[in-house]
Amino acid sequence: MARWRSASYKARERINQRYAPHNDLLHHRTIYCNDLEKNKQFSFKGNSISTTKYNVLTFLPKGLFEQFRRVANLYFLMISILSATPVSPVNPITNAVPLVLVISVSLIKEAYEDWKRFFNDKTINSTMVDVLRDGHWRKLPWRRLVVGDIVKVHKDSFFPADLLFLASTNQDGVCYVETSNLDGETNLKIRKALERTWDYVDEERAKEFQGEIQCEQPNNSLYTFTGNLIIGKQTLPVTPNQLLLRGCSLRNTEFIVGVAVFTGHETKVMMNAMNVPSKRSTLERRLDMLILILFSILFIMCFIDSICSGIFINRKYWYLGLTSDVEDQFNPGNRFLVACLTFLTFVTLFSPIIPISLYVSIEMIKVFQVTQFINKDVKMYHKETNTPALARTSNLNEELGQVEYIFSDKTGTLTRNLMEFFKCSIGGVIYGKGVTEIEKAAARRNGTGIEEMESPAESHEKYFNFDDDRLMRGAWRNEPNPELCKEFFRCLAVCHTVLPEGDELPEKIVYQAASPDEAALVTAAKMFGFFFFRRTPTSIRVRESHVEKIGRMQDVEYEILNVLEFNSTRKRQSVICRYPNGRLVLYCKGADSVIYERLMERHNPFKDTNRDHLEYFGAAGLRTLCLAYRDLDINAYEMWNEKFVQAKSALRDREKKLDEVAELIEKDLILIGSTAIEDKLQEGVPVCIETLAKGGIKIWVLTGDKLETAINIAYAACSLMNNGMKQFIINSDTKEIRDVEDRGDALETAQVIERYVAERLNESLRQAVESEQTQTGLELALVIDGRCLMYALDPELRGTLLKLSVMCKAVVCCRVSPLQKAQVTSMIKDGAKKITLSIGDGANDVSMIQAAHIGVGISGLEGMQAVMASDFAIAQFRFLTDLLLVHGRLSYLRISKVVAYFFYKNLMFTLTQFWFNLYTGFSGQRFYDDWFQSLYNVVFTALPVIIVGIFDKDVSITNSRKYPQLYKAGIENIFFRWRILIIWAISAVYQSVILFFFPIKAIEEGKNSSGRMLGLWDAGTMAFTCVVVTVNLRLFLACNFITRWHLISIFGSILAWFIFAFFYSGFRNPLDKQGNIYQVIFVIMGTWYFWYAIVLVPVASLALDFLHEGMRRWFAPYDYHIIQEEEKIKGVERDELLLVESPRQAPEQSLELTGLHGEMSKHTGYSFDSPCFDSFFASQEGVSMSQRSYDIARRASMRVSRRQSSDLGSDSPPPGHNSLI
Amino acid sequence: MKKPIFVYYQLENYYQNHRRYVKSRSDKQLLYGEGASLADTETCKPKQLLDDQPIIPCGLIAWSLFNDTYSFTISGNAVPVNKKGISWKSDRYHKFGNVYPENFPNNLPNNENGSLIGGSSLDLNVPLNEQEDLIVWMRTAALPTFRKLYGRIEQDLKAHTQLTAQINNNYNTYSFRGKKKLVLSTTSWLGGKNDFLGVAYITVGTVSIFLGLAFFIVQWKYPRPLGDISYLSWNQKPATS
Repeated sequence: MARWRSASYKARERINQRYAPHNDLLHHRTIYCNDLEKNKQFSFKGNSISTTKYNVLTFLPKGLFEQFRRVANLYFLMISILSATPVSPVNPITNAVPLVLVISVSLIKEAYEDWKRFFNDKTINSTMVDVLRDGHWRKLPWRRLVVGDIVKVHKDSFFPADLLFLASTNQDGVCYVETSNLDGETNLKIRKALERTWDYVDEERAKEFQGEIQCEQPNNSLYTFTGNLIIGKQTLPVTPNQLLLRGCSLRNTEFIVGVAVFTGHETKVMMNAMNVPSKRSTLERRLDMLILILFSILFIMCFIDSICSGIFINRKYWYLGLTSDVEDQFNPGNRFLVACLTFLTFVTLFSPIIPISLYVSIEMIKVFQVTQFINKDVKMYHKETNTPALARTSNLNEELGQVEYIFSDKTGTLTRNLMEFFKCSIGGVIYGKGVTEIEKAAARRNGTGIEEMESPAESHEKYFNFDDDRLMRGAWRNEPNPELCKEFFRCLAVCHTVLPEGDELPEKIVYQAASPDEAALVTAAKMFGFFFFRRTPTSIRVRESHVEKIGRMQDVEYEILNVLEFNSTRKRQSVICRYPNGRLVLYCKGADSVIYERLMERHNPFKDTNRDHLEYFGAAGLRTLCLAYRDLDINAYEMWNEKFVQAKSALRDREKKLDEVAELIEKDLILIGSTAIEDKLQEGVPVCIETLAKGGIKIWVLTGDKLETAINIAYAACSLMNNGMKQFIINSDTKEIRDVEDRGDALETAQVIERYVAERLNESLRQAVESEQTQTGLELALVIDGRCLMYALDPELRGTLLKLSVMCKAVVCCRVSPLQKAQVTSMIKDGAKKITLSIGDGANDVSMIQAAHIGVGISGLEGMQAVMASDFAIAQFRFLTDLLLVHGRLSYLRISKVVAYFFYKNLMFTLTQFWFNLYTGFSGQRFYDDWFQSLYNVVFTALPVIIVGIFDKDVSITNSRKYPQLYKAGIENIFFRWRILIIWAISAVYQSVILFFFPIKAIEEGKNSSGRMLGLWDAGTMAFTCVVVTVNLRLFLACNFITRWHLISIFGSILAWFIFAFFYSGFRNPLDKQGNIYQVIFVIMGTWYFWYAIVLVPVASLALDFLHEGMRRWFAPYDYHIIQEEEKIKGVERDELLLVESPRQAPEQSLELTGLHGEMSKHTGYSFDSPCFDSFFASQEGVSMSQRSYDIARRASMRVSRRQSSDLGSDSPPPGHNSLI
Repeated sequence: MKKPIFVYYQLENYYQNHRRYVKSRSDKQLLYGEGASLADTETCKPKQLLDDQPIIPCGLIAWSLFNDTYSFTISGNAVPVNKKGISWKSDRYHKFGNVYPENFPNNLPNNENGSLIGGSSLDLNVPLNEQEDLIVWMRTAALPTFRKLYGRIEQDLKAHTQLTAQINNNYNTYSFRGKKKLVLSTTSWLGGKNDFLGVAYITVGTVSIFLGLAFFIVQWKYPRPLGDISYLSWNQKPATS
């Protein structure tokens, strides 16, 4: 939360700075084009970039520093240093070798990655570009480019810096750019140069160009740019429309000429290259706790032993030679010092209690899970888009097994973001015979039943699912209102910001639209015979059929005079156009509420019928828009246009001024009718949600949609809500609030809303608590809109909201901004301390994806921003079932087992040494040889636990899906709670006792048949053998599932110990002055005790665990135990994970609509969803999103349903690629 | 008692496994005993040099060599104790070389150990790999109570034979109140008598049988059908509430 606050604060500060008038000089950048000398005074940064972390000199110090920032490494460094001092009981090499190994591996990896980055930078910096120097185009490497240079960029090459677009070879000074590096969108966007600079295309002209650019300081906002170009005495406003960003590439244009404005690290794309904060899983954070506990145990053991050693040391033990020449550690004259030094001895001796290989092992397990299972699961492979699941991080696998809250975006995630023109109402008549799924569900519920008049899929056009002959093929001419019909179609064909692409034929054209709604509307116009096929910056061409008379076709050019942008405050969009015959019309489409406010008082006979129709559409789950027009008087228009132009070139508050001006002309409208668009659900969504709900996961819908649409989706499609639920609706759209708003006092409005929200929240909470006490089983649902949420998230109300929402089964937040999505997520994450997962597809979900414990992006159709910010990317919402219930659950199970096992094996091992030292006068003598001790963790017990971590599986994957309830174990953290760890700890203590006393007792009294006695190292080696055998065999009790890999690794590890022991005892180790272990293993293996002990000790040690496992299964079986038994009895089909290499068609899940529809929704279904308006980068700054201007090209690019996936896949990574990602 | 009868001495409260003690030896010196390694007494503190000459064998362990001696008689007839072969072969061949003791402090006439403090002298004319008492002593014990092989009596002792042991009490254990014991024992092909392992085996076995029975009875009386999904937690909740 703090991050968000500070970010928004910073953003505000930045804006303040940017617009502060008094220090204009500081906060403006002045660039003299084509004038190197003059620009030198500003010392702009060069264009060379460096993304490396280190250089040759800093690599070692910085790299080592990074390594030792990890606590474990630092700890082992300290141990290594300690072991080089005389207090150490072990050879320093034995501690240093594993540490050096671990660190050098990490350093090599770092160096390699940095080298790659360096090389990449070098390639980028030396890419050639044409720069105008001394009046000629010179080929220069990118790094030599400076601010103010005029450059020429050719087709298909990348822009070397942020350029101000001057001229292009295309007519009208436009060019097309591809921005896939910036936002992942592959469609082309138009940029348009200022008319004044169009002709500086060739060398001769370009070298004459003398201009001064005043613009904002470098910043990271990709979609804003404010500045002026001063040529001679003319001052021209410059907008993002003239800015070509580094990272984009030029398409469909031979070449362009531009001036470098921002270079190198000051380009917008580089300023955006931020480090995504890496997430750590909750389990891993818990692991830190565990390590801390191990540290405490270590400390306690060392403390006890060192105190005792101080007491023990005494000259009476003459054989210790304590009389003369005694080093401090054994000097009975200073017992305190003895204790202190012995403490260090014990820290060194007991250091294996901290598992050095734990992090490495977990890392390996997770990487394996990710690369081999998640990324290759055919059940999560979407064939249509050729998209497999992608885990972008391997840190969070086990977190997937503990998710309790899912925050889902609606559009594109739950729904397909495939809008189909479904119905319409023109002049008070409803057209369109289709029946929506929601209506079908409602009908089924009421028992009326509608005959399935499944319209034959006759040449089903994308975006168009309309079936009514009355409007098709010119039949509308016979309808009651043919004139209105004509206006309706023209409005659809003209009032939009769609870009046509491809051949200008109805069958081949592809519409690039800002939102799929727009595409649907334009497509509808095409189907009705008003084919929009060409857009120039000033006009739109429409091929109209049946206008004059049936069957006649004609091309009509409408001159577009003004476009009044859509944004989320205006909720409408207008186009002022001139007919070829000079008729001046304003076409407007928008939300019913805004349109109705602006209708002419009279001359609107269909106002009321249309409203009824809107409500009907809304009830059917359709998205509606109202269409209206207004004929303009030329004089009035001219006057208005002047104001408009003024507002457009304003440097400050441009958006606000534009809105105000637009208000002046968007009035006295005449209603044409309304459109209804169906928002298709994603495949398998209801089933998936139902399954997840059974698994104990709560799903919240957070959407930018309006209240009614959101509720509709929650009801009908996703079975999240039903009429049996008690609903709490907190909505700011009440009469009371509207009245206050009309008075225009912002402060008063805020107070009223705040009071209202507080009242509603408290009241709801009271009722919720009440109903919980009185009526069992009554489920609650909360619906809140973004505006109320803003107040509800205040610190005072936050607690109430949290309490209420946690009690609810379903929560729907509508009309929320990206920032609020993140805030809601954080509220649950930090407030309720539950594991959260956010899933979304668009740029507006990025903040929420980053805020949650786990962010999931929908990959495939949309832009890549959500995926870029996510931890996991899947192609379909329904794949969440597999991601969570199968992979997440198993990962959680495995990792918790691995961690617990590490805890046990290190604790047990160290405890044996502790027991031993009780018998050595607390001297810190090691029980095992030092190499045994240091290889224990990294060799003799390393591999089997990794195998278990990779392969363990409690129940079959089929049953994982069949019994989603098994997932609850993860939510309740059953496998990694303290109780489990305590049981492991008890087992560790018990085993350590057995493993120490049994071998040593056997040896103490024992003798061989030759009568010879065994010594200290014999006991140690024997005990160590027992430890290795026991610890490895313990895994058989721990795992649910034994493959040959288990057998190989477990017995292999035991064998590895023996082989090592044979070699180690067989040869004199020249490094080791004390040949303690020399020959030992052969001596003890020649005695019977060894063989008695090797059988008895592991059995006795494991008996307790065996008993515990048995009792557990018998008396308090876990759910998975029962399912295991069921599998054993009934058998289970072979269900290895199918991997993508052998793709098999996943069984189609039927689209099952089980929801009920609420009777309350007398809503009209307005929802022109344009999440793009809340851009990702803006949300990062915490700036209110509603006041941004978007040029047509930008708009048109935002929501594309078409995707050249082949292009995306085959493109080699372009330069600049890595700097963004 | 059938021959061979093993003679052991047992020391109690004697920390042969103390860290200062364990590390105070030089295996290099013991094995190679030539040139540089003779002087390699770095690890032998505090018994490394005598008048600036390296002690051979150096270190606390050798210096504190047990020096009580036992002799046995049966009704006046001496019973010979064979002290050959009491050490492990691997020690004799691989850990101790043909090295002769030198500058050994206990051999000095008025050595600091005195007559009652302990610390045996060594025969300077016998190489270390033949001085088996030293070899046995230097295989340090794991616990503060330990036995070490003294020698073998290679004749049968009949029941009710009165064996007289004469003990030269040289080794000082009074200062730390250590106990000394003399133990005679025989072995079988399996090794010596070992109460602990036997008891442990029987205990573990008994507990296993008992638990097996308990589980059997439980299953007999209160059977839980395997794989019955009505036992699943979510299937049970409605029943309990």
